[in-house]
Amino acid sequence: MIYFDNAATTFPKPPSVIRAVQDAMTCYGANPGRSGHKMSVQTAGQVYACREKLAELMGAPEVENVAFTQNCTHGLNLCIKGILQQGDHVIISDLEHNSVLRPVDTLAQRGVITYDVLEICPEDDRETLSRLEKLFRTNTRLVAMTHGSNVLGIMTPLEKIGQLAHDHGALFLVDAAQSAGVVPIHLEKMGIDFLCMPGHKSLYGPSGTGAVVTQKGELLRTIIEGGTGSVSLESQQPDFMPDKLESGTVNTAGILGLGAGLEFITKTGMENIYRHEIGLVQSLYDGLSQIKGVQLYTSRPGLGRNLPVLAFNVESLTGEETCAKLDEVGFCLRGGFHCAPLAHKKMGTLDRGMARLSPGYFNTPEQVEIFLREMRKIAANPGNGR
Amino acid sequence: MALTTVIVSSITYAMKGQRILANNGFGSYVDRDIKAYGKYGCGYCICITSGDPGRAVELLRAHQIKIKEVVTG
Repeated sequence: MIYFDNAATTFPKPPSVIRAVQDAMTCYGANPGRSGHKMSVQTAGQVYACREKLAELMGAPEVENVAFTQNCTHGLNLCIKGILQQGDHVIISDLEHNSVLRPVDTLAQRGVITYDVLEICPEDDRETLSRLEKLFRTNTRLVAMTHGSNVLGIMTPLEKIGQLAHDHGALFLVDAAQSAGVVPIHLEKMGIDFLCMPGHKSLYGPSGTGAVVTQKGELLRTIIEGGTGSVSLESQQPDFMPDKLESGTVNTAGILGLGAGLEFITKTGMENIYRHEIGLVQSLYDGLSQIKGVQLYTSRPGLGRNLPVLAFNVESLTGEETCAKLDEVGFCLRGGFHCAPLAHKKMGTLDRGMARLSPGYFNTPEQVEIFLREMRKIAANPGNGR
Repeated sequence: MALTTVIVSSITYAMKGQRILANNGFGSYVDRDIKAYGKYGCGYCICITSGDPGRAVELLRAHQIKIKEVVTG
């Protein structure tokens, strides 16, 4: 089995992550932040250590700027629904995942907000920004933008978008689902008000982890309230971070695993990981572009411009059919619409979807060669799908 | 010497406060808030074990640690 589906979740996890989860189950099994016995306080110390590491990695000035979530979608919902009020206007991009599109569209369908979709120009940041400028209204409250497409790997000019948002008095929310742990992100320097990420993708944590990183937690109305282990005699949710956004027991084992994932990234070097992955994507692109019957949808991925994600199709096959054929010979890819209908609409693939490659740190150039060999066979004889 | 206990809002602030104190040469540990139990509901405290407690509390306030109460003894 060769796993090329790291954009969905990273696999395998580093051994240290697996060990950390095991340690959590055997040594740090208490509920952190609830009791006063030694194991509870020690467990809380481990959770705090992960919080510290994530704050540092994301350029958050204070540890309490980090609130753990179940995944990126959870964090995005907390922020989008926590910020927006009746009459607000929102700008999103045409690359957004359903985790941004759906909460925004749901609020619009309910008549709470209106929104516009910015057309991203992959090769022309200036044009993207010029189009964005035209979308602002007096009531634009939020710009919610992906850092990079989960389908196409295209990165958005984040800092300039954030600057424009602030120039117009809007808040800036970033969906870093595909970029957290891949490319440097700095909350303060990039002018990000709300940064949402999963723990289980390029941060190498287990599934069931994620985070919201923000200095503006006080602006959020809560959509989930409950036990926080703090100020329990008050019937109101705490107004301070991270407790405000962390109701109920956190995924302790997951968070400890995430902490080990963050250490792995720091020790290995984020740039080393990114260069390795982009190198593999470039080899895949170069190889696929030589195969008759294979269609690619972006220009050659480049360092600093793209995330390590590549979408393609084989003539006469849907994206799902291509991935099914690849699954038969041991390759793990995701086919279909990737929970990103706007991206598929942009690329004209609403009728067939795409197959998506997302190599990870543990993939090798040899695996890329094996993949390309199989792709030559499939493209030469696509048949009628599965 | 009577123990100085700094009651804070949450476990996160307790841990953060302990780190700040340790980085500045103060000894402390985190414990469940039992000194003022019932006053603030569930909470945690930082018990200062070495160093001038007055300076320790000033340091915590300077780092925006949300302090509910300081209890000595």
